[in-house]
Amino acid sequence: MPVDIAQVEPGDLIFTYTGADLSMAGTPTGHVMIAGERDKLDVVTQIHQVRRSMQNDFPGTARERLIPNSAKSRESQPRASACCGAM
Amino acid sequence: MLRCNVEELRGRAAKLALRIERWFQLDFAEDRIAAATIFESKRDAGTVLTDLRKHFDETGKFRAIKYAARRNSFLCYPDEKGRHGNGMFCSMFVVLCYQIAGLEDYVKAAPHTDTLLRISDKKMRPKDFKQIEKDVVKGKPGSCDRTDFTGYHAYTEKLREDDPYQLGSVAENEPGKRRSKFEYRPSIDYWDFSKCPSIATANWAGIVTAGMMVDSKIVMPRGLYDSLVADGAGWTDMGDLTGKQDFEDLAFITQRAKELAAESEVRRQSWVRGRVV
Repeated sequence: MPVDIAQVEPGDLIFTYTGADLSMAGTPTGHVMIAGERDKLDVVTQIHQVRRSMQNDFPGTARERLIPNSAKSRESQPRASACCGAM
Repeated sequence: MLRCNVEELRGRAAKLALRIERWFQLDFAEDRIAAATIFESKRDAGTVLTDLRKHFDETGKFRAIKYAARRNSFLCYPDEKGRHGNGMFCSMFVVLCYQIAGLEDYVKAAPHTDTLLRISDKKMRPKDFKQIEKDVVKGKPGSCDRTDFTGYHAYTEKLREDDPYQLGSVAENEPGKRRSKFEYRPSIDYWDFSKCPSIATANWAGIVTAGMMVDSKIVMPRGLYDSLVADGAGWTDMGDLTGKQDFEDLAFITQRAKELAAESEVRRQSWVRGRVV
């Protein structure tokens, strides 16, 4: 059952994929973020990322969206703590 | 999207994540995610979860205590030359936010004003262990029991192994050099034995939820997802996110991100120089 992004609460964990490069074939990684504050930059940024993955039209559950990460996509996340917010 | 069923824990974890994001940002750790990726890739779906739980019991809970003790300043200290610390990767950060949040009542926090104090178990020398063991034998108030001492000692031994997770190609071994400038303290000193007399028998599922009983250093998003979904009491799978696209201006977000990173860097440099900002 889908959940509307407006229902995201602080502390919710959002799983998504971050790339489709098979350079690390067989090693599914994906991405996980922790929601910060509602209606603040932190959540909005995360929703942007999740939304971006949805726009790529990967169907199925969050688990199925966990596909191999790419070196390039990891480079775009220079800070782990950015997982909770600003990128 | 997964939601923790323990509302208070969820709120604490979010607050901690935000504080780190705004005050003590971490670098992205390529080497650590590489090690975690290898760990997961060498196991099939059936054994990843079992092994994540096993490593939590052997090392992960001590690692969680260490980071909980560091929670008021940098989770990854700048190195002795003041350069950036190790950093983390996304699932490591998320897991630690929850583990630290759960441990706030059980682990004392090192004062963030002491910029020369390092909670570091890698730096413990044999004579440090002898001192801890003496306290165990004496039954000194506030010290750990024999079981926790043995578990903690085994954990620190693993920190010194070249390849503690049997990854084959990734080694981690930091020389145990000590510089007089810094004071190194073992993380076990920060466990509040007056509140919970045993680390080994603590109700970890109640403290961090069973789903978060994974070793943060080796858990990847997929393993974490499996672990949380398996913990129906602690976590709820809310389903896929959907809804109307309603973003703030991306340029503003990007600019704010740069500002936060710059502010954090200034704070780090000041801290390295012994000044708390």
